[in-house]
Amino acid sequence: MKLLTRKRLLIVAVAVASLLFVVPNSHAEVIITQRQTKAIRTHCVENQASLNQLHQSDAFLRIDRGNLYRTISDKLMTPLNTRLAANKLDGGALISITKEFNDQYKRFYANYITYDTALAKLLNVDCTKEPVRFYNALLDTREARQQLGESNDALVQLIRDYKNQFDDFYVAYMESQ
Amino acid sequence: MNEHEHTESTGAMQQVRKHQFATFLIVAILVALFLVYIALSLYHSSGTFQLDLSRPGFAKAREDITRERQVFEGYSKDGQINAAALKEFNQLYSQELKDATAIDAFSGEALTDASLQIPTN
Repeated sequence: MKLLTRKRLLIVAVAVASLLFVVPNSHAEVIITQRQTKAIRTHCVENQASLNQLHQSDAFLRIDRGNLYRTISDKLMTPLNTRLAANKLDGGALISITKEFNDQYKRFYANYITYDTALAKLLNVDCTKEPVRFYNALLDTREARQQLGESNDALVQLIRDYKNQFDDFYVAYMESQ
Repeated sequence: MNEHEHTESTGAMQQVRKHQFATFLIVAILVALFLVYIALSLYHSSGTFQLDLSRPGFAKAREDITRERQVFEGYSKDGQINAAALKEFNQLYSQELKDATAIDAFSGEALTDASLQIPTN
């Protein structure tokens, strides 16, 4: 009886241990052709240089866009919403766009962190020695950049939406005077 | 606690008392290292690391940011709403809208196979 319990315990322990060793992968490793491997190796140095440059220009772009988006929200959208409310005017639609904009900004912020981490990993891969690992890291970075680009586009669209909503408000206000 | 263990712990206490200053220094260094570890963890996990252009290798980006920096007062949250106030807002907002739509930021073009001279198959 005791032996049976020990065996069961051992089986459970092995099962738990094997579960711990199964590490989820972001995506299955892509197999690349020999032609691609050769091209990665051939253009390794120039690609690393251009990726480094991209890393720097993206850092600048992120700060620049971030400042612009915060300025639009904190120094234009929010003050107008507050002023409309203080004057007892209906700015409900404008408030809702501002809220959506701030939520989207949080996504943009997080997506940039993910992208930058992926790009830093890509830059750390030696493309001459490990072309397959380099290509897989490139795919991860590309995916992260796509998500970042989408959240950036969504922010720009919300800035446009706010302007359109403001134009409607302006026309309605002028007509009511 | 048996007699042997008791003698050992008393000996350790005596050593600490004997080297009070050295113990104080070691504890202070350990506390400082722990606090630095916490600070660096926060620096990384909050995303500040990614936005920190004072890191080595970002000199060019740092220069560009310094050059472009200008003070923007924004729109006042106080005051009446009338045609002039709305016109002022429209002017300020249109300028920022123009900046926001001027470039296609973070487009996928930079990381395509073609841009890195990798054949598609």
